[in-house]
Amino acid sequence: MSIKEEKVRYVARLARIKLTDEEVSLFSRQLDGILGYVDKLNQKLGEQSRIPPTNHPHTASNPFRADEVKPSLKSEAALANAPQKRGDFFKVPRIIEE
Amino acid sequence: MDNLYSLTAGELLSLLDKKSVKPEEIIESVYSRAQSVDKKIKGYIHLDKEKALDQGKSLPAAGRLRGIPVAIKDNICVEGELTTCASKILRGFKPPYNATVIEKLKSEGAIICGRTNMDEFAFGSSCENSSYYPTLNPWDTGRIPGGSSGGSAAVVSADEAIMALGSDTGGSIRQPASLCGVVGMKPTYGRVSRYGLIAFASSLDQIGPLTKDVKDAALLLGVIAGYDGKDSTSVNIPVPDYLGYLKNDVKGMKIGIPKEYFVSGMDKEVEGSVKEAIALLKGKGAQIVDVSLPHTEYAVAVYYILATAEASSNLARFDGIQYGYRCADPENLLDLYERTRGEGFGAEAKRRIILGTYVLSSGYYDAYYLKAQKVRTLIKNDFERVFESGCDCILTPTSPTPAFKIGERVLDPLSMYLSDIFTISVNLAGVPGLSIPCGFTKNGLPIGMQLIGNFFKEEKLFRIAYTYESNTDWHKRSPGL
Repeated sequence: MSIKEEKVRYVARLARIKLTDEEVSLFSRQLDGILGYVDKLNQKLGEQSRIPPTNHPHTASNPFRADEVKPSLKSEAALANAPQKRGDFFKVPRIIEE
Repeated sequence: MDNLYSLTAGELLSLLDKKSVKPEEIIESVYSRAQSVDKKIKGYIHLDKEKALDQGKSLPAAGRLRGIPVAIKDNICVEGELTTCASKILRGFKPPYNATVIEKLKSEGAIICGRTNMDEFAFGSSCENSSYYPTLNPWDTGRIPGGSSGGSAAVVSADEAIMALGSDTGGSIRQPASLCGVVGMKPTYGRVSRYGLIAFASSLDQIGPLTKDVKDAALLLGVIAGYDGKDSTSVNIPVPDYLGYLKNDVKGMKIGIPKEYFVSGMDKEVEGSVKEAIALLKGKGAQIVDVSLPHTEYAVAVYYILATAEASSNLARFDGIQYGYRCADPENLLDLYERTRGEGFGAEAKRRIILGTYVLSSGYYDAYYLKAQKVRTLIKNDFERVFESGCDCILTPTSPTPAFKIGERVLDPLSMYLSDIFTISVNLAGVPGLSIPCGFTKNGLPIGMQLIGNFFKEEKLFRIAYTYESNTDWHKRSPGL
């Protein structure tokens, strides 16, 4: 499988990253090479339908804790790094079109 | 007396015990060293001597690291201190809380002495992907220090810190440790809390020590390890007294040598040094056996699917809303997201996010992501089989080559990815790995070997590494700076 420039633009849109034309062309070539390399999983190893996938090194069970109220971040601390804020809120461009 | 900055934490703690040095003398010594050599190495991003001296004023009397300056990789949160992952998108970010490892260091009296350079978001093997500047190898400043914890490895090697913390997702502690001639360990997945480590790939990341010798690595891991309710993937197994396992004795220990890690075409000097190290351990009574990890050749491919997929998801949070960089004058919300991320991320971060998004996208998920997860199972099974056969550790080179030249692999991401070929499987399996100096090339570049252990058996790696170190003096050499 190879990755065309059009595909790179599409995926960049999914990932919410604006790319320059130079980046699209460079990444398309580089990702083509990388995908060619990782394709050996498909070329050399068969379907592996009986092998369970591993998503975590340990057999994970969901850890639960007691449902207790504990102190959490104060809103001034949570807002301290905001690029733009107003009062107790993060400030963002208008979301709902007029 | 030697310059204080050149000593290990173990040596400094015994001087502190005898009251023959004061903590502020250690801090002064390390800072004056950093001031004189970091111009050449550029291992640090942020250094604040006054804050370090303040920390030294009230130290817990019984603290296991009281008065010891520890450098921290720039992706581990320190409350109120710049923590930027060496990325433009996090410029100016000051976390509102400490990572669990930082709380543990502080409660044992360690001095947080500075923030070390890294590949942006830990994406890289050379430190050239930092948005600030590349770090240089103290042994040859025309070469890279390794990465992504290259700053941490370089400042320990150059005696600009007594010890350091790094993080390791595919070799990011062990490979720079090897290339800079220091000890570095990636603990078992779940051994150290990841709370406050800015996530790259959550199923692979671990924080670990970079130190001047094995004893310091055991000491530092003992401090940072342990269960943490704030990290649901940390594992509730008691932390052994690692220092108690440091004996110059490997009689009867079984060491596996995997044939897949000694292939034709590998660097002759690396191969020679590692084989001499095997012979030394055999001479000390270890049993050396041939083993096989048959799925090794797929590890890099599996890794670059899983790690980029996880990264694309983890890095979705950098959107210019709550912290960090925001683009100027966005037209609307979509424009804000796209330009903030386009302008804020460096090239390798964008490349990995796009690759990760692609392998997770509709139509490709089964062929890439699910397939890689299945092959991850096969790789993990390989290790389990070797340890079930009675091996105490697996011994390999850490990196296929010594430090390469600056710029040599920047234009070819795949060649950069392949520099982690011996370290990546360890993260996929979740087992611990330690890199220790085992020689030098004719040109004076450090060579490292890797000891891989079974789950939660770090103490065995320390024992074997300590024995090797006690019978060699590679770790005593320092770069002429």
